[in-house]
Amino acid sequence: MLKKILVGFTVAFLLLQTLNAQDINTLLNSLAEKDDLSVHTKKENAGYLIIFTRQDLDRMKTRSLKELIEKIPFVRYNENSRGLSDPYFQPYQANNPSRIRIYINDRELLSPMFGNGLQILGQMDMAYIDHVEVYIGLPSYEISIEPAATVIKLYTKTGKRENTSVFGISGGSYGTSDTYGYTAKDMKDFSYFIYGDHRNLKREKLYNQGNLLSRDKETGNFYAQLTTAISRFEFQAIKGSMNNFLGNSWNMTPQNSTTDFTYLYAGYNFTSPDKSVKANINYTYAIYDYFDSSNAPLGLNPISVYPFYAPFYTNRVKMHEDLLDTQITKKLNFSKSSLLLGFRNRYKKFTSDIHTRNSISVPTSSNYNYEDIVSAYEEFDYMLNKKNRLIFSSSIDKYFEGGGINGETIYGIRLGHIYHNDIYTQKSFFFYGKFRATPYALLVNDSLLVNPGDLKSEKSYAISTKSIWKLEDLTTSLLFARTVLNNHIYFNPTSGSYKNSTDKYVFDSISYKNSYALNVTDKIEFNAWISFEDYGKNANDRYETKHGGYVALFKKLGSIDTYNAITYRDGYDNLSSGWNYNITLSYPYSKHLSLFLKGENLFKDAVKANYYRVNPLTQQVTTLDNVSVFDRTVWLGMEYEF
Amino acid sequence: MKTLFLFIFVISSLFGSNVQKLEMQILSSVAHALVHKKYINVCIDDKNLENLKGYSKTLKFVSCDKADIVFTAEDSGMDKKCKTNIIFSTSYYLYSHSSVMTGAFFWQKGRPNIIFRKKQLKYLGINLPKNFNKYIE
Repeated sequence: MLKKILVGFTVAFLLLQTLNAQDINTLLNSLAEKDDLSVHTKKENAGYLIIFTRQDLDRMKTRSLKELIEKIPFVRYNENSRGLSDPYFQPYQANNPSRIRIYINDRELLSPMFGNGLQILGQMDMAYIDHVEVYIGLPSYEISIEPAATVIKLYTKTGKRENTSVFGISGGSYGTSDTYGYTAKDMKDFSYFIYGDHRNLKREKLYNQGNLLSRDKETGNFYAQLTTAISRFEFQAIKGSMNNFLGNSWNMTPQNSTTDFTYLYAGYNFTSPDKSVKANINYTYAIYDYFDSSNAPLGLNPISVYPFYAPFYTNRVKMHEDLLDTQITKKLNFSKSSLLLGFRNRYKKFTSDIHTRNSISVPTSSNYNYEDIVSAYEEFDYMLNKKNRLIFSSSIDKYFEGGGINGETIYGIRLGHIYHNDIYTQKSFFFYGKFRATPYALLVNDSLLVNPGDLKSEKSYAISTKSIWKLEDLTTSLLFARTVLNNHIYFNPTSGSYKNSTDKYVFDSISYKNSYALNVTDKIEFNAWISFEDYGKNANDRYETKHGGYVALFKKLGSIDTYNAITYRDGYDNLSSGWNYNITLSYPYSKHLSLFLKGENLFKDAVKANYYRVNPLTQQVTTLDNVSVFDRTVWLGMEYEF
Repeated sequence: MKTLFLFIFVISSLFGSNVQKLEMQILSSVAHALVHKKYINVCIDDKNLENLKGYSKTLKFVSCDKADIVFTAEDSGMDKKCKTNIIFSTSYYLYSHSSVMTGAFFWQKGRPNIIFRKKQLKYLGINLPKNFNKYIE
């Protein structure tokens, strides 16, 4: 009887396999999933990885990076008082790139003065991005030599995988519009990808005392890539104009507050034919022109007569930045191990071109104008046996600072163990390292008339482990992590300077994720996480328990592709919980024309931000609460493939 | 016991599907759509697909002069020694620059894609199975 059942099963499976083999559409769909570009770029051993594949992004019709941020465990999407994407925003605190770093291919998007690239990219179109890899929990130096809790790597589309020309246009609520187009081809000895977009982003309008608080942004983006077997040349130009939302007005009544910026990038990437040597050189030139005006003071100018200060009502800061980033790595392979050696230099120069208050030039009170970081790192990967491997990495970063600011040498180590068999993987990592104060924090402190003293680097260690079970259709994972942070750097509004906290911050985090493939094209994802945070502040408010998660369903209904997702966040200090429901419907009208309808934050219950301002003369506090960082938006768009 | 081993083998072969196997299945489907024979002589002239040769039981890998169908990414795939006129490109560049290609298998818009050239199918007198109709252009 058992024999008959087994034979029956065998025949049924063989039949199924034969039927599958005959269905060319199913085979192509399977190959699209299994040979996604991320399969070739991801580094599974580098940390805890979350991938948004090309198929995911296409089906979500992702309009901007902020949609993905809210699906990352332990991160709550937020926007700062200038309306820019900044998940860790706290009033008066500057952006800290050590929390999230953004890369496009092998280039980090970083502004020494304004923080990580999320502020530029967070709300821009991303139709030139093929897939996104998110490494959480202080990943390998190979991913990011300067450590960060979360590293987001965006990989561009390539000529080799596109071979087409596309034009897209869409419109959304509040008058938002997008246009983009690209052409890409795989030629005989090289491939190219040329892309351009224009976004006129209109956000929900808010008012305070009759003053418009606008978060509108208009951006143009051009990206080009030329790739051969061993080389990749890249060029990118972004030009944008943004309203500054609250600006720096003491009572949140900005009258004409805008930032214009230009970002230019050129880079070259080399990979040897055997892939053992990689080198890249990236040059970025960026100009920022910030203007703010208000009928309330924006700040105080020191003067020589009593009361020794005078408020100013307009403020203009125009500056430019040069970043030169060079890196070379060499991988040595042995029979049971490999050794990766890397050297990197990042030179960041920032120059103030114009600084006026009340249209009067402000003398520069600091000569600090560059930071140069020379880094070396190694990663030794040893295979104990077929199932177990050990990883030992270490890094040394030497910081040279301009303007007489003290430099520093910091060290980091990372230990890892990975167990892997056909269905189960266990990854465990220990990290110890330091986060250097940002050039912005150093400049603010250096500009003060009274020297606040040297800022110590933040010191962190983290221990974590993740279990992953992979069956044919089901992937389940469970992550535990403890992170400890000392010398936390924060802005003290009273002194107007950055200081080190004496408190110890302890974060205990757990994340559970399930992904189940319903069939070749459909899947359902579930994530739930909780983070116990001990801020070491006052006894009454030192503990926070944050939690969140999401459920997402990708499903084909006939020829209509559907995406449904609901994201949840709760437990944030003085902030209400948020539920963000998104839906996307895509319909291929013909072989060349496709249409889509997308709704974001349809319940209008997504996470919200609170803002406040303190008038230091009167101590009057102005607040703006429950500002939705995800507008309720409906998009309608089409894409034409030539 | 033998049956149990067979069962385990079939299950593991199903679960062990990988990129090469899928690529081979796609080429096999294309070959069987174009050449109506149980066992087909195939010539592959694409270094990226060289490692696929162990993945098919119905395709026999031969030199160009003995092939029923040629899969090629190179101009040399159109060698005059080839007796067959059924030449299927594995490069979009070659397909778009050579009118003798019957079709192509390549990546387009981030997805694998196949195309059959209507004019060439007509010239060769090939009728594709119905489930391939949407790939004819």
